[in-house]
Amino acid sequence: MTRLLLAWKAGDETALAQLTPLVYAELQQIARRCMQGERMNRRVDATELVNEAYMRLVDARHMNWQNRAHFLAMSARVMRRVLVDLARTRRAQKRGGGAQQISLDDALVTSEKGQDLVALDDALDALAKLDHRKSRVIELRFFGGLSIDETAMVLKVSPDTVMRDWKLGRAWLRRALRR
Amino acid sequence: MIPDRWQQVSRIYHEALAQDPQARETFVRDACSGDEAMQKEVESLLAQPISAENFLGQPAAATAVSPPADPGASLLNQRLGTCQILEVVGVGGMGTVYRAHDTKLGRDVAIKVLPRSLSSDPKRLARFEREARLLAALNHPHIAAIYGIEDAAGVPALVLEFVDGPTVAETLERGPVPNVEALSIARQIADALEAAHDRGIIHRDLKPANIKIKPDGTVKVLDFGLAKATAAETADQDRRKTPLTAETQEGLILGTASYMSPEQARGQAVDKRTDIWAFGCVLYEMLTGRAAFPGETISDTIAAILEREPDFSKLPAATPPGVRRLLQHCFAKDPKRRLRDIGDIHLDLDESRAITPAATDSASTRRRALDWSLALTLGISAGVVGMSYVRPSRDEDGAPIFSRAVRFTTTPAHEFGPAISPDGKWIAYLSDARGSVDVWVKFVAGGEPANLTASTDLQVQTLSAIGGLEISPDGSGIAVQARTKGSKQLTFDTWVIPAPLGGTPRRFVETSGALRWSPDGTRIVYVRPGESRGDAIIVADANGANARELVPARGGWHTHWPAWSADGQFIYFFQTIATWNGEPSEIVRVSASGGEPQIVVRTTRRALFPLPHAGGGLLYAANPDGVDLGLWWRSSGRKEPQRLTTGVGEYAEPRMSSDGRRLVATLIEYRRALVSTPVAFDARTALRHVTNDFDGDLEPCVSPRSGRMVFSSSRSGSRNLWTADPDGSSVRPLTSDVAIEERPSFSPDGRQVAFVSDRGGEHGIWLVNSEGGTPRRLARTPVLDTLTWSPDGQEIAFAVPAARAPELSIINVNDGTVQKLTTPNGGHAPAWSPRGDVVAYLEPRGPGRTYLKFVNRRGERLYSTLPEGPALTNGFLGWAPDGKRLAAVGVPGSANAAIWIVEPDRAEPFRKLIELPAEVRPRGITWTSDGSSLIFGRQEALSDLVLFQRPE
Repeated sequence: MTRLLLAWKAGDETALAQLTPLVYAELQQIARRCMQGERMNRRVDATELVNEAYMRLVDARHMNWQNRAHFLAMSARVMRRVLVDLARTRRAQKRGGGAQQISLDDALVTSEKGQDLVALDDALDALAKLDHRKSRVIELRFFGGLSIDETAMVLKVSPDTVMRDWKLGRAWLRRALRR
Repeated sequence: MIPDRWQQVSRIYHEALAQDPQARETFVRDACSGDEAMQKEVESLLAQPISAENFLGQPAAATAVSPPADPGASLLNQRLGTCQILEVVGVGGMGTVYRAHDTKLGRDVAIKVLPRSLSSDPKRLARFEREARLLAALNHPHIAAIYGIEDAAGVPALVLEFVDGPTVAETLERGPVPNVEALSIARQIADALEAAHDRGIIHRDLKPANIKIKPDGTVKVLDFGLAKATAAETADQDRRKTPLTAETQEGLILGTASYMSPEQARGQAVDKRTDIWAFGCVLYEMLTGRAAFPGETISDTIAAILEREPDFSKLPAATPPGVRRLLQHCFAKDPKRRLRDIGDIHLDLDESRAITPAATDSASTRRRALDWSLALTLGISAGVVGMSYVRPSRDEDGAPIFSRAVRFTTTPAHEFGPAISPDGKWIAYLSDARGSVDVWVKFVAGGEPANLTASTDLQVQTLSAIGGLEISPDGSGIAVQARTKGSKQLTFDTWVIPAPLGGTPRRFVETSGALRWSPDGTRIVYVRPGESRGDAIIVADANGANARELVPARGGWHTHWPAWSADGQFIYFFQTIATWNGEPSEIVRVSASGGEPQIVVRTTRRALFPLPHAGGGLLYAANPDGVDLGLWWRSSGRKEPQRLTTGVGEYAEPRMSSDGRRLVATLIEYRRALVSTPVAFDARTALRHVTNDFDGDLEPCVSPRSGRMVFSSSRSGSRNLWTADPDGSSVRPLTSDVAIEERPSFSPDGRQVAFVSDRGGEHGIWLVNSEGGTPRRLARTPVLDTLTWSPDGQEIAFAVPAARAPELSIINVNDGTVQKLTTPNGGHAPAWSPRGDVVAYLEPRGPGRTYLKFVNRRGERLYSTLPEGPALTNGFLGWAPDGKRLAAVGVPGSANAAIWIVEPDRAEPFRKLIELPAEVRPRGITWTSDGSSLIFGRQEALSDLVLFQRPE
């Protein structure tokens, strides 16, 4: 895992292809466990989940801070897929089973404030077409839990730029989701 | 949309955001210059309430796995009890908040819908309702009230006071809050906390987002106690959990972690002091605009909370010293050392208001000038902030450069006497973590400390600041002063314990202390203690042979802490007279081959712990500009010494690794306060704080006439005289020089106060009118401890150091002539009876053997048939106003300090009034004028080790 990550960082794109399923599996497992009650009564933030995955997958002694940020950057995309996929599955199940009562899992599908993850996923794709970097900023921050500074480092832009992208990107998405 | 056009929209959007909200509309219209589509596009983007809703503000997984705050949207425009829901005003970590109108009472209310998970567990719901009722009883102008609980479709909803206005978090988005405003907000928060704490209610989640400022400036603290009321589990269960899962129930997000106290972060039980920590965080953030414990991730933040000190250098220059001190006391990692009472915060803030008068609206330059002049008159050095190791301004001095300090130990125990291994990898130190003082070793890289003496039969000497531990140059042994347990011997020997893993200790040098190996390992130097006759410095071969006296004992002076220069040519050490605070003391140097010692650092205060550096410079601890010791650096070029550390607390016992990369020191924090106890031999005997622990109040003396009390205090930054009523109220400064002014004593008529000062660069006895005015010098003389007036007010008795033992002297108040009061075996701590020709004093007869004696003015012994009574080492005496009873307080041998009431004419003259806790040392004692109570200075020293590392 560590070797793959280092290779990916060094520019080996095939390494990413090998990495993604590993991370996906791990994140999915953690996310499911969270929902199955182990942490039912508390919020868990993405950073924490990704950190946990990171600790499990990577030999931390060989990784420095930049590597970690790159890992988070990659995880953001994987996290997005994990969560959106889960949301889609739940939605399908719910439709199929005709379940009406609200359960904890419904949070995935219809959480408050238009954060319907499936819709958000679509909106993010649309934003990417208009302004790729802004959608990436949202993805890194929202799905990956990266800080402004970490995002700036990953995208090789200034923190101010990230801040601006973050603001406008959110405004654009919120409007898109309200329509 | 074509990308170019999007770029334009983007630019106008950001430029518009930079405008004032009122000016935005016009700005956008102008910027779009007639392009209505674009104008609409920008306006609709600007209209998105992304901040108010915190849209996407929490990372996805948080929302994904948290319970839904529904029935959210469905509540809009609905009725809940007597309330009509009007709009969503926020989405907090704990649920959605609505504004609603209570049609029955005709007022706006806020309605907070709580997490659904709360209602799914009947027990938890019942507990929540119980808590909520308790909280609803909190009625205070600065606490947002809870009006009631409603049921919103099966989910509990709280009906709360509606508070209009931004939160402190929102205010902080615009940057730091101006000092005066921040203090006003802080004062109101403290008010709210005090009211809640009085009812036993802890907030547990105080943070900028929970504090609102109404348009009229009134502050309201929100969500009091809700963290606990809505918590999933009981506190007992919390305690067993790891940091990240305990105390982080509903709604822990990164933002909240920043305000967690160390005990919260560790998942330990919390009490009101957790709010005091959070209060410090909020105040710090208001003043600086940045978090006290920043971290990019939860784990970084928690690491900062547990290990680092906030960067006090970020505080604005005009921050009043009282506020700096207050912050430092809020940020004590160990809750036992934190301010215990929010009421104390109050005092500090009020005081700071007192010394930042109407500077509110004046120009900042004027404010700076004003504070500067205040700083001068109050004796506060302008740069004294925070606990950080400051890089000397000139590196070419060869001055050691270190990064910020890290606390190496953080236990409630006392750690001191550290030594660092030659390779810098481990540190040996003394600690009473196990009860008795033991030698411990801890590796810098981490791991649990190991106790090296627990399984031996060594009794380690408990004194700090005289020698500490020493590690041999090859790192294989630790030298420690000890004797075998249960032995009758009064002195200590040097023992060597195998290091770093421990093993069987061997006795190395008898009757010695502060042993140091020479850098090349061929020689040793040590101190041979001689009590009041003085200590000698001995050098010998590494095996102890060929011992010879290098520096003979200096009568009345103590010699401690020898240190080899890097080339082995010189030995540095310090000498001090036996005052309780070790002042004056000075650093001396002598050639290792013999000769006259030379004074290297001379001061009327303290210069201690020399640490000679390879380049010829000297690192040492001193307090030339204040009360507390800091670390100082003096280069070989004899430039002005530079201060290396700043902050409240004393840096003592610095030791460096041989590669110069690491430096360890003992950080001592003092709790000094005036406390009182009734003189009653029954259950009523209890200690009560008259002043708080953090103002450095000591040495009280009550006027027999007015009943008013004079005492010395470091509340202004330097030690000066203050007066107060005996209950601690109506505090007023009596003197305010940058010099030390201490040990005050009222004349019998109450008109004058005699005191000891180093005004003019020399210790002496001074007099000042008790109403204030310019003091006059009575004599230049060292004064060992107390001053005491004769009943006729014509003379003052005191003790001076002398060759064999301290001696009593008497000075005439009118002409300043001094004569000896000869007693059989010397004496100190004199107390002249207010009713007759009796002087009580303490007679030193060897280590731990100091006894109460009486003479008359001619030096003839009185009450000679009296039993010896308790040993009163480091003692103080005070006569009751009736002249029949005497209070004596001291440390009897190795036991705890105790207060005794002595009535020489009574059949059973010595009666123990109260025993003080082990860590407490008395500093001065006096009776209230009605003779019913005693007031004394209580000093407690708390020490931890701090580690400085050179940046890589």
